[in-house]
Amino acid sequence: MSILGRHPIPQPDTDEGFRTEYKNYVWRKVMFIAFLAAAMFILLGYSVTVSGRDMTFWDGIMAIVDHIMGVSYDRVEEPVKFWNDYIVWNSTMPRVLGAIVCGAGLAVCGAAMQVVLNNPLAEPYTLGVSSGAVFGACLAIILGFTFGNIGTYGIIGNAFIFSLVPCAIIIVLVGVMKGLSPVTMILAGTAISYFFSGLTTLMMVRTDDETLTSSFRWQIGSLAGIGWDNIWIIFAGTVACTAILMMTAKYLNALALGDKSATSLGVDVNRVRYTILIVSSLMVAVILSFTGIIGFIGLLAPHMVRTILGADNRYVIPASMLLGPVILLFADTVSRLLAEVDLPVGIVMMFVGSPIFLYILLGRRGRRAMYRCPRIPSPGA
Amino acid sequence: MSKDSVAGGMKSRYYSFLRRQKLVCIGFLVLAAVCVIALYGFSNNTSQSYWTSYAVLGHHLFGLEAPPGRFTDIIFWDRLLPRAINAAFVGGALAIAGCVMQIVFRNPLADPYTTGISSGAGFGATIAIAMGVSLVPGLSGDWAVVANAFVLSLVPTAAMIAVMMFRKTSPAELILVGIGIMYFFGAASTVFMLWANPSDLSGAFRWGLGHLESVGWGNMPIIVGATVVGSAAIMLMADKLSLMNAGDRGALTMGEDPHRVRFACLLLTSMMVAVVVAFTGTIGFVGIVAPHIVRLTMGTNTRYMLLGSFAAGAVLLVASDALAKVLALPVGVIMSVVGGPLFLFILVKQYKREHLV
Repeated sequence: MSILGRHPIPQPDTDEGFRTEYKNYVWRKVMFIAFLAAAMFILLGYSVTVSGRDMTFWDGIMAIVDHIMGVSYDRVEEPVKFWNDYIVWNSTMPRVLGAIVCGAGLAVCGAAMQVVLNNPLAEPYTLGVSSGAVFGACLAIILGFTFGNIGTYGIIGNAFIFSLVPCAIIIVLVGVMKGLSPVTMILAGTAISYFFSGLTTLMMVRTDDETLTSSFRWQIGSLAGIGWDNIWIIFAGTVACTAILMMTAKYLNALALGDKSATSLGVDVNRVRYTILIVSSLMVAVILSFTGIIGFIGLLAPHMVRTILGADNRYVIPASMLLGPVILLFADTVSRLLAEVDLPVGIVMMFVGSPIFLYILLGRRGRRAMYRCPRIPSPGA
Repeated sequence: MSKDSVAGGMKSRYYSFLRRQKLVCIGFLVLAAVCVIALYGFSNNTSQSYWTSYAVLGHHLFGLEAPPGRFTDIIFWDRLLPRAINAAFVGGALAIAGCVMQIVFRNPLADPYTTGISSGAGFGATIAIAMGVSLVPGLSGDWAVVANAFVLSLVPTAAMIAVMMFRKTSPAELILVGIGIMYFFGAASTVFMLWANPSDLSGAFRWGLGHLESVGWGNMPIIVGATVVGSAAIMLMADKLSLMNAGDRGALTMGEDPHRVRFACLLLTSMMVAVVVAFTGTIGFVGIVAPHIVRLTMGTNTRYMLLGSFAAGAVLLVASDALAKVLALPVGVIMSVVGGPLFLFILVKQYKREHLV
């Protein structure tokens, strides 16, 4: 019987007990992350074979490996291999890599946002980045207004520039007003996104039906616009920002305990929050100006991970970084398999993803995990 | 200083605090009433003067002499007044529902649509507009849209309630269930909108923006009735709701089952909002922002916050609707474009007051 209460806290008798318990704890999480990594590579291999050509899984893998090794085929002597290589490398590969990079970026961003904003409903777009991007894109699509004469890049350029406006407002607010609470930040983001979406709606109701359709389409989110000529931008942006987020991941556990506890543990709460918000807003701005608004991943992938792994952010961040690509790649593969129906990847993801999400959340496993980990970012109004 | 006088000072401070809150509430309500009449007067496209609206009102209520002009009576009495009254009640219903949701989910991002009502209603309206499907047999046109929206808006709520009945869920978990369902319905309506021809897409898109012009004397009683019943029931539960502010454990300690309160609130607000949404489409902003404005201006006393939210929501929607009619724009646009920066301003003000900058 413990002094503190009637229920004694179960304690392993020895040091050894603790050690094995901790090892098991880490082992399970590492295994899950390894499983996700393996799933990602298998999906990648399968995904490149979905291209309208008759290809097996190994053909796809070999085409990638051969191309990287610098093997080239003669068009006349080995036409099958030549065209496999051509299609895989030029048409499917950028899109598949794009799915991986975007999925990883959005999921990490969502996981970090949910912790620093201390809200399970937070997602990469909570601070209004997406509303700015949509406004910019609609400006290009509906009014034909672009910065500079850059042709097809007009929409992307506009989306990027205008997505920086909400970012800038938030950065200024957070920078000038020290110690702004997460709730106020969220509300400021809400105000900004309402403002921009109001302006967007204004343009959309004033235009004709055809233009409305195309601007509506831009918002849904699609990977079709990613090619070799632009993927390096997304890649560079995402890798740089993800690296920074990974470095701050160690502070996230402290932050999830609440600002006061984190401060007493020696974490500069305001600085960590500021860094994470800026970095993730920039990353999301880069991603969504090329893809449109891909929802779901940023909000729900981190929750899926937390439900399965528990809320230890040292593992949630890398696991989200792998689960995001798995989901996006899967959805993209399905949307290419159903090419004749023409469903954008954003829609496929919601259709497939939400039942899976509900299953994980409400399944027996989810229940155990949810109740076991009180440190899930608790909603604090 | 004696003990009594200290207690007396506290007491009088508390009473003056309550008086201030009451005053703000009443102020908002009076403003709402003035707004209704102002809207009723301002937003005509005829050459009538502002005071004509009062003359029409006097004619109908007190049997005074009717103002001159052939269509004056029709325009004011049959088109503008029901719309204004309706805007007030819709705004009030959405705001009070938003306030309740923010309390029971303890999340500042919650709004009346957090349970997925909007996505269900949007899906219903989309299939009615884009494919001509009516779930209630024998209806067509606008009534099919209304019926579809109402029926399907209850599906996400029903799912959530089923989850709540079989499981003690945490608020976070419950919100996530709602969001999962919302994504599914959202995807379904997007698919139909993409497959529809551009003019149907445009119709469905406009429905989603929210509209108050389709309401006349005929269907106004439904909205007003649902709002009054729902809001009254919520007000009766105000004390229980204020316990919810203490968190689930806190509420339990004070003898209230938080799960039960949440269940009841969800059921009540969903029914009320479902009725409103079926007629007006998804009007955003007011449900999330009005409660925050009230919280920032008059504090968090739940009873007055509910009442204040209702009044603030009514003011917000009626005023935006008046402006929207003058500028010939959807009401949602006005509310977001004018209200967004205003809300940001209030937030900054509040920060400065707290931090004494």
